[in-house]
Amino acid sequence: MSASAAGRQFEERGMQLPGKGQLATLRRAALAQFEAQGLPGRRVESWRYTDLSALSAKPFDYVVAAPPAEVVARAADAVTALALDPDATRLVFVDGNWVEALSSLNSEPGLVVNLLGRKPDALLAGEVPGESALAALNRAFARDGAEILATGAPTRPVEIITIGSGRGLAPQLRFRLKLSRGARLAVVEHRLDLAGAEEAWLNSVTDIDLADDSSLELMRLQRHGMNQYSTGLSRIRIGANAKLFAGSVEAGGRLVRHELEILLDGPGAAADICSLALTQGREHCDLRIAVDHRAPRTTSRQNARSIANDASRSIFNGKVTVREHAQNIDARQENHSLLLSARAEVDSKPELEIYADQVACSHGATVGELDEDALFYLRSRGIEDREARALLTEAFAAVILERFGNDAYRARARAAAREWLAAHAGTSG
Amino acid sequence: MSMLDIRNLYVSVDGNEILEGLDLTVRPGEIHAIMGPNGSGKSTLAQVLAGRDNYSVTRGEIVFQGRNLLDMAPEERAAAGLFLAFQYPIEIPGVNNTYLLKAALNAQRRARGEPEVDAFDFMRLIRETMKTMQMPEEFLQRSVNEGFSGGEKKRNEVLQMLVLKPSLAVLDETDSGLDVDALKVVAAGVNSLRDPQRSMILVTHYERLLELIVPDFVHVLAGGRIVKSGDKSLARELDARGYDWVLKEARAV
Repeated sequence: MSASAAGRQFEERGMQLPGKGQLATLRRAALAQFEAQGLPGRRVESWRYTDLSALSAKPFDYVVAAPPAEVVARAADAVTALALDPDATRLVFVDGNWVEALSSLNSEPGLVVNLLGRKPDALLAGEVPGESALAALNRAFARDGAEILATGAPTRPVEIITIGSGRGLAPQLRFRLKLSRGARLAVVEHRLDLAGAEEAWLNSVTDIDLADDSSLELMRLQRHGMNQYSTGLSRIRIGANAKLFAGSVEAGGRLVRHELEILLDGPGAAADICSLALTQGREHCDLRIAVDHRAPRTTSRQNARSIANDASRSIFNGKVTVREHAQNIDARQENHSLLLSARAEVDSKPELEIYADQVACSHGATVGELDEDALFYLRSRGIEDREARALLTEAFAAVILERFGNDAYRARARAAAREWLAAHAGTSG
Repeated sequence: MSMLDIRNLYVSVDGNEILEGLDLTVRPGEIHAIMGPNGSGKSTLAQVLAGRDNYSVTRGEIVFQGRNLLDMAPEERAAAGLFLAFQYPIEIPGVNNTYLLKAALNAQRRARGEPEVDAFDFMRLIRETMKTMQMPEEFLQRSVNEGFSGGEKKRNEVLQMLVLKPSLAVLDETDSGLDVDALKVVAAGVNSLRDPQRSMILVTHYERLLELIVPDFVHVLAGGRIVKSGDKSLARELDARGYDWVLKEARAV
């Protein structure tokens, strides 16, 4: 008899998940690993500010069935509202199930997309020893996802849209991205939901491998409602002279945990991460970035900003590890937070572990309210107090948004941030 | 009617009295220079005029064009025609320079019941003013004062002033940190605004600015009060002899 709700469900309905024999054994092992660890809480150092243990008591449905037509119809409207490039490769998952009718697998030279729901072997492959409880839970219940292989330089981004319908479901999605030597790819992940009445939880795991000299732009735009829990782990290996740009805007969700584990594995590998987290109400957003400089001449940039209103909470945990033989490293981290309410809370936890000696490493963190000097300056030019505050709040976010190099993504990110600021920070929109 | 009447003004910061009974009257069209040793209260006066709230006015009054200035918010003072060129202009990352100019101009126009400026007219005005101030156009797309050199920041202050066309301009050490050529550009910009209806208060340490922007009156501020007033020749005398003799005279009175 399993201890957790997830375990009991696995016993009762696990046979409905794709894959038999060896794969079922793999799932069972993953479940055992999950149950041994339990959902992470404050006793785990990297989860010091976010406690998921309460989620295990919630009656989520982990063995998610395909969504009914009514849900798909509403999801279709949500996809239309995104106004995506009609020629881009588009993968739409509703409640964790790939929906063919909303997706388009346009053929582009140098790009191959495999649907993992149809390939259970590939779906569960790539086990990582000692992986986290959330990754194990994901492996135990995964039923869908996609594998994206880039060998050339497709001109359009791949858009991945995950939509939750808020029906008490806890889908487990898996993605795999592989860029061959010299390949270039842009991927935009949209996470949203249909504001359902019941709580829901999306847990995703993404494994990314960047071969030497390749380049990936990984962008994410999250706009969840108050009933949605969202956890996402990306494990990224970056080869020699390969480059990653990871941009994200988190603009909603009851609880959001976004984790990037980045391994700079070859000389000259580079990672540039820019994140903007916007929280209000009772939302909780936790961004964790762990960069492991394992090879010499590798660089990393972490640039995270958050704006917190009401009684929300925003967390940044940025870790940089430089291994003993990794010389000539350049690692920089900046985290700045703006509090719009006395009840909001921001936690910033930089961690540096450096075992090499030729390292340029810096970090800076600030938490505060709007700059009084800047506010007075604007008002002295005739701009009203309220407008000046809105302008400075927008400017605080703009510093991150301006760093997004992809024009289409920057425009979307800007629009999402403006909409949020107009709704929750008194700006004019 | 006076442009500005300051009567018996006492101002303190964190319990320390900085201005102690300052009187000053500025009529339309006049240029007044305020000089004085460091710490005499010159910048405090400039900040109080613009409405900075961490100064407390404990006595006295300031009347600006017939209105009680101390009752007005900083943005109301700006809309009424008061402009402060900051001694240390503030950097505002993420706010575009052009955007600030347009937002400021339109906010002031709205407050005065005027229509917003036409986008085409605005750009023409900005381009012309940039030329006057010898600033490259790329400054328009940069964040306000971010990464500007000291001299560029001062030019940007005067640029804003030329766009906003205030009736009373207070320039707080706009000459400090400028080389001779930049000083000439700034002075030409300021002089282009001279008008029988417009007044200026120049806060400065140096007489060289007053050779280029010739004041009608020169005042020495010391110990929180104006201790001596004269015409432009007083500035030359101060430049040659320093402040000690003025301070001695003031103590003797």
